[in-house]
Amino acid sequence: MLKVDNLYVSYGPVKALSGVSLKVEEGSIVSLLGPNGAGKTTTLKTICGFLKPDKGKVIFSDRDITGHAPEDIVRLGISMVPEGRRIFPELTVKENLILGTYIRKDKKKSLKDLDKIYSYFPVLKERENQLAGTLSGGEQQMLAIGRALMSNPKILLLDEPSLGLAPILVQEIFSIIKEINKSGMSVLLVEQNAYQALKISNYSYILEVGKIAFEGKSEELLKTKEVRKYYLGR
Amino acid sequence: MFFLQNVVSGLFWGSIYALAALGIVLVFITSGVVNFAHGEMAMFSTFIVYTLLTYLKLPLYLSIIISIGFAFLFGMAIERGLLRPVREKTHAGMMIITLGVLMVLNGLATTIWGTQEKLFPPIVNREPIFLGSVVIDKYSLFVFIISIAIIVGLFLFLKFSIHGIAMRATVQDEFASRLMGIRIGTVLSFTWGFSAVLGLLAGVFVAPNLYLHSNMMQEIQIKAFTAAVLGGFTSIPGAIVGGLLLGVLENLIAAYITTKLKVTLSLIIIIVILLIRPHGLMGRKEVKRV
Amino acid sequence: MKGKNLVIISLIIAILFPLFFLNKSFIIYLLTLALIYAIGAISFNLLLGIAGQLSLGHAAFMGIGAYTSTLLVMKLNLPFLPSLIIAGIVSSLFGILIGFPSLRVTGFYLALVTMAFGIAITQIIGYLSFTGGYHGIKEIPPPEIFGLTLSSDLSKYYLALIFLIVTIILLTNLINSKTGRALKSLRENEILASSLGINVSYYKILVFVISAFFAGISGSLYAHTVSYISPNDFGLGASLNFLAMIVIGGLGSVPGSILGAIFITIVPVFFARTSFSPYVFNGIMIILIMMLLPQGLIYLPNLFKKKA
Repeated sequence: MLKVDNLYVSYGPVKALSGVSLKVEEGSIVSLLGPNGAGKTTTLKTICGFLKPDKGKVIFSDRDITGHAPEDIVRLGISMVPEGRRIFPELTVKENLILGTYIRKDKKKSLKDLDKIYSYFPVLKERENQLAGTLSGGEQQMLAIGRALMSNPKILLLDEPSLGLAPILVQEIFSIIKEINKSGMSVLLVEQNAYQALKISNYSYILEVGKIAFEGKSEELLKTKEVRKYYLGR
Repeated sequence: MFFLQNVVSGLFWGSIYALAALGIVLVFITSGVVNFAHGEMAMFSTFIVYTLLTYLKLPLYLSIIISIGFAFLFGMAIERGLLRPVREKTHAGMMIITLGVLMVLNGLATTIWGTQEKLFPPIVNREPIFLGSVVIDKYSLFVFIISIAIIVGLFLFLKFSIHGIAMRATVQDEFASRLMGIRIGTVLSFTWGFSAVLGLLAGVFVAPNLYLHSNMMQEIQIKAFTAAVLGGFTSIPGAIVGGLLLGVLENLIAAYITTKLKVTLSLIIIIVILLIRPHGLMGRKEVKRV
Repeated sequence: MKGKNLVIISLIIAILFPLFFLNKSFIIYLLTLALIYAIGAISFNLLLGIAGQLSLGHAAFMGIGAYTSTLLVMKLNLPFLPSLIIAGIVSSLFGILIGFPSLRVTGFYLALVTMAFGIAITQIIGYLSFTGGYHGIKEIPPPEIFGLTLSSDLSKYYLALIFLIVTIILLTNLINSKTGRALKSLRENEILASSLGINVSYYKILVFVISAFFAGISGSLYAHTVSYISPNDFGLGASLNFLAMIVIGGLGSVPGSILGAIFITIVPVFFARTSFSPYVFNGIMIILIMMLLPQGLIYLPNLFKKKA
């Protein structure tokens, strides 16, 4: 469904990605792991069109979308939950969610999707008319995910959804991601929390200094000695 | 009934202040920039109407419609050509550029059309209408109704339509807005264009009473800023309330105390409000982001 | 080393320049005006370029200084120098007044408040009768120092030059001092500055006071050089002119302020014969500089250096 082919991305003279390739099969959860600064967010930003690679391709549903504008890529069915949530603080929860439907033409179905999101995250319904900026970190994360889902995407990209959240919330978020995936949504999950990500994903890539260091079926990686030592601290 | 009469004529001026304030507040809500050149842009566009009217002898309605098109493009051009290139670098820089535009337009207007005041026809005639013991002329009533209608319409649009919500979102988080598929450039251009049209309308409404000249909008602009500050710079209903309140207050002071203090009153209000309650009567308290 | 040579050369040019135009007193007069505005421009640059306080009513300080000095000399018969100093002090008192809003608001709200203050002050001067109202005050006597009446254009020029040099020395030292660094931190990040222990309120008021003082002095010089002042000379247009001077010359730069002042004062003369308003030219320059060369014209030589 989504393929990244030999990406080279740099910030000026600094090389962020040096030949990164990954694949997300339809209906699967793929996680992209690695330490801080490895290039995980860079990869997501390049997929979404915020960064233009020096070399390499991004292919979505057999279409080459390398270097396209983010506004167009979103309309093709790729939706990202950015790092740090980035919800609109001065808009209400409901307005945030509605904005997710901006690119959609089917207004009536949009309202049904709003109910679906509220079923995933009941607390959002409670705080429907509250300003998003007043929500707690966990609630904002749910809002950000809900907002991304409202555009009815084909694939959902998540950039470190567990960042700054209490462990019990992390569990909740991850189980919801699993649930969303069960209904058919493909997911590309970027995480520092390697253990949780490996547990819910089918396939994983581990990024180190702009290159893929390990890749494989998640359950196998969980057992691999080096992975356990360096990324799981066991 | 002297009092009521003054209140009513205060409402007429108030609605114009509100309309002028609206243009400024709209641009501020969407792009975070204060357009100091708003008044001059309005004045300039009104002069275009005048030129079409007087030199090309076009009918008033047609002149206004053509000028609306001009104003829209003008606003878009200023945003796209002058402000967008510096957007990434500096916010204060954009403000300074609008001050530059102010200077250019003011000087240009004087050069092209001279310093003499020109007569400008009212859109609707000034037949007096009697509402009880109060007299108002048809023109003032028309302006009042149209202005309020526009402002209310815009408020509803911004609050409830998805494009309105998108416009409000762009200034809060550009990155996230792009993720929603919002084309920031289009939103900005459209906002500036529309704001310029609002300014033109304010100018056209005001010109018959103030006579058209290059400094015509300066006083209105001060009052528009006052209205915006009074109502809270981030609030459109605030602009209405601020404008009407200012119009009425001003008129009452002129009637009961002295006409000379009108502008000073505005200035005092700006100063006092910004010192005591910067978010005005209806604006939202600004949270300082570290 | 190069910088020092430049300063000496400029000084020599500044001292000798008018001697070549002894029979063209208008040029000397114009340059004198430029020097006087330069003092005001440097003080404004301290406020906006260094401390980052977006104040759009600076000309009002100049006006307060001008009127104070004029009234002291003409109505109370005080000698020039004390009047000048008092004018500066009175201006700086208003600096405290106008500085207060900066403690409450920043950014464009501050711009708005200061703009309102500036307009209000000129309006009030216009109402009062002892200030001559909107018609202003005519026939202001020239500066008299130690018994010498400086009525010739040349003497007024050198007087202005002396004050400008003093201003340059004092304010440049201030900018490079610890206080100057504190002021710069105001421009960069107030919250950060205050968390580093810098007393933000104190420095904000201080910079308003200092810049108002020098603006007041320039106002006094203006009044006694031009011999006629009216409220309109110090209104919004004049404040915007100051803005043009420091933006075009270079924000935060003392030599830039002087360059900008000369530019804004001299250039309109070329347009005097045409109906082309200098206001348009100033506005275009502001826009072009902000878009293409935001550090101001003073940075131009650096551009050429880079190419070499």
